[in-house]
Amino acid sequence: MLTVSGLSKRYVDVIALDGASFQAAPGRIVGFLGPNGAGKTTAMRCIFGLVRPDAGEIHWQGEPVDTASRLRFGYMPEERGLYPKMKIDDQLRYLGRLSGMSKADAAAAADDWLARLGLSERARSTLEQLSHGNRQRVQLAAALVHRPVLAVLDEPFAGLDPLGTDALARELRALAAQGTCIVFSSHQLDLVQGVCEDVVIIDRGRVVVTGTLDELRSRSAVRRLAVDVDGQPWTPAIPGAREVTSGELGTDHHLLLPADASVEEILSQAQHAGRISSFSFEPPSLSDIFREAVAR
Amino acid sequence: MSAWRQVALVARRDFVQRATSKPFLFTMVLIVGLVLVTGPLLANAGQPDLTRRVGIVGEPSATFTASFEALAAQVELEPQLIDVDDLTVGRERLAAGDVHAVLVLDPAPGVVVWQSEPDLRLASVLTGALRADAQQRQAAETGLSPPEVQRLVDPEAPGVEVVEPSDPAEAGEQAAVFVGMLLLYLSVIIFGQFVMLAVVEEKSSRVVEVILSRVLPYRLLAGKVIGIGALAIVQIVLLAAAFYVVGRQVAPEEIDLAVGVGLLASIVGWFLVGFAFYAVLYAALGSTVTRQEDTQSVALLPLVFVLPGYFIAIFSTENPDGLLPTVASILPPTSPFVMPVRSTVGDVPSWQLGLSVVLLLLATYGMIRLAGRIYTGAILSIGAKVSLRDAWRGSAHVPSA
Repeated sequence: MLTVSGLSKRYVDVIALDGASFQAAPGRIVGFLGPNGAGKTTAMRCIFGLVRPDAGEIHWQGEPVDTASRLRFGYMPEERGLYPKMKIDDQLRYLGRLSGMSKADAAAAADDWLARLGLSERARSTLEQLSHGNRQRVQLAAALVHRPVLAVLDEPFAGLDPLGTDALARELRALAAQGTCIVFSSHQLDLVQGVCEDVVIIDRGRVVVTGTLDELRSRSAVRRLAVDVDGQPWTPAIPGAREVTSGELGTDHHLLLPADASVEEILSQAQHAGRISSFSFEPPSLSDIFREAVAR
Repeated sequence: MSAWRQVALVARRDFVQRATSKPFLFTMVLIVGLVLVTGPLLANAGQPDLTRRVGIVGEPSATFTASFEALAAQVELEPQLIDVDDLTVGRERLAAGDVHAVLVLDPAPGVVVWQSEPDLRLASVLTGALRADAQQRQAAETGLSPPEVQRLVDPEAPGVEVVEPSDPAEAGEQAAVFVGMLLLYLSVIIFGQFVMLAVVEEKSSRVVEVILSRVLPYRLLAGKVIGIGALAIVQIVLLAAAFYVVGRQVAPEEIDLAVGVGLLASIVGWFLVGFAFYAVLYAALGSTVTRQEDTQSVALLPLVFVLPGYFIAIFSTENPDGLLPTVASILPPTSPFVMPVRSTVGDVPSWQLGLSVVLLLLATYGMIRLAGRIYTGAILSIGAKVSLRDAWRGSAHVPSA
């Protein structure tokens, strides 16, 4: 179990972390979510000793995290990068050995990861000879080659196409099934809600929401309603309803209603308004939950 | 996982990556090849031409020829006598530059003809031989017996004593010191900059964060300096071997293998300490920039120490016990350049040698602490150039041990 408690970090002109606390359990995929600048990267760097927090503690299985325990963690930084002119199997072996693997173990693990990512034939290529997508794969392997007990991935889904997103999600689920604790960050909350099991939402350096995804969604005091009547978005006359626009392009219109709103009432209003072309009434999305939590 | 194992892994990677890179291998082969090929050519170009051609009109006597050869050998000339029909032909050949002088034997005592300036060494040989010939002839006319003539013409030579004979090996030692100094100086600058580039490369490719999640910054720094330093020593040994091969070819009597090996050991020893000092300085400066093109601005700073060290070292070959060479050979950061020269050329008291080594080791330790802190503070700051002050302060946030 990773336990982060009361983490604070102030830079000259910004407060990056303001008493952030959360936990992540082995075998679980934890989404560490929040808008850009919320403090995700700083918190992750603290776990690896790359940033020393002003206050707060980090424990793994009850023990304070130190240089030795960090060797069993894997980190994929937000700023991607490996040695451009080094052959990729050499890089993975090197990183495996730096993490304490024997020469033979590191070689086997590197071969294993390259096979798993479909890169066996490119093993003797240098990083700069690979396509962007393949570099991303090698970067993931670099974080995981030494079979870490805790994998911390900063924005692993950034820049992936839908197929890449699915493939990465499959890898993460497979790792979690082997008992690895996975913490990944994202600023695109709705994109990753199908991936994470547990959610930690951070805003302005403070953790504002934690829990399992299912629990958070069902426990929420609001429901998400989207109705199209005669092909146009339609709004019922229900007290407490709020119109919300979201999505990357601001084209996703929906309403947030109190959880106890009557579906039958809405449905009958809509039927009177015209022909219903689409109707959804469901638990709120992660970005809805985030919005509720920070009241923005 | 011990610290040393990580340091060794980093050192090995930096050594192997650079040693197997095509540009490095190419440069290496080129430099060693240049030394092997051009060394003998340059050395020969520096030798004075000893041949002298003398046009001779008439038939020289045995006395003249013997005396001519003996005198020429004394002044280390290799003259040739070339038969010329008469003075007119001789003048033509003189004007054409075919011969250095023309000698007309008849009538006695003969005439030496020069085109412009007489060559003083050759002139002494020619007049000496003519005079010996004349003495021989005149002595014979006086009716003396051949042994008496011999005693008169060639009296017993005075004894000669040389108090401090020049040792040919000393010239070789001077040359070796000069070559060694150049190697030391170039290696510190070139491989110091390699360390700097390796640091900037890790920062600009962003791989440094992946590495630092596994390795503490000071271990990464130590591994880099050791790996690239080892590569430098390989290059020093290869080049020293190339210079030795050239030396044996050019002047075998001046080259002593024992002196060469001793000097090489001294260069490598001084390089180890001197390089450690400068390499961490280069690394610290490299860590403050993110892009390769920004390295220019900081790469010149170490030269402020290296260049004076080099020039004082040259100066100290002439005057090894002067005040400036003495002080510069004891105090860092010039001591790694000046002391090896002074201790080879002159007689350095052992307390000076000891003090110099101790001070340099202390300064190196201080530089490792200072540069390590700057490196640690700056290495994760991506983007604009980091000021040394911010790097110093920033490192309070990153563990250094």
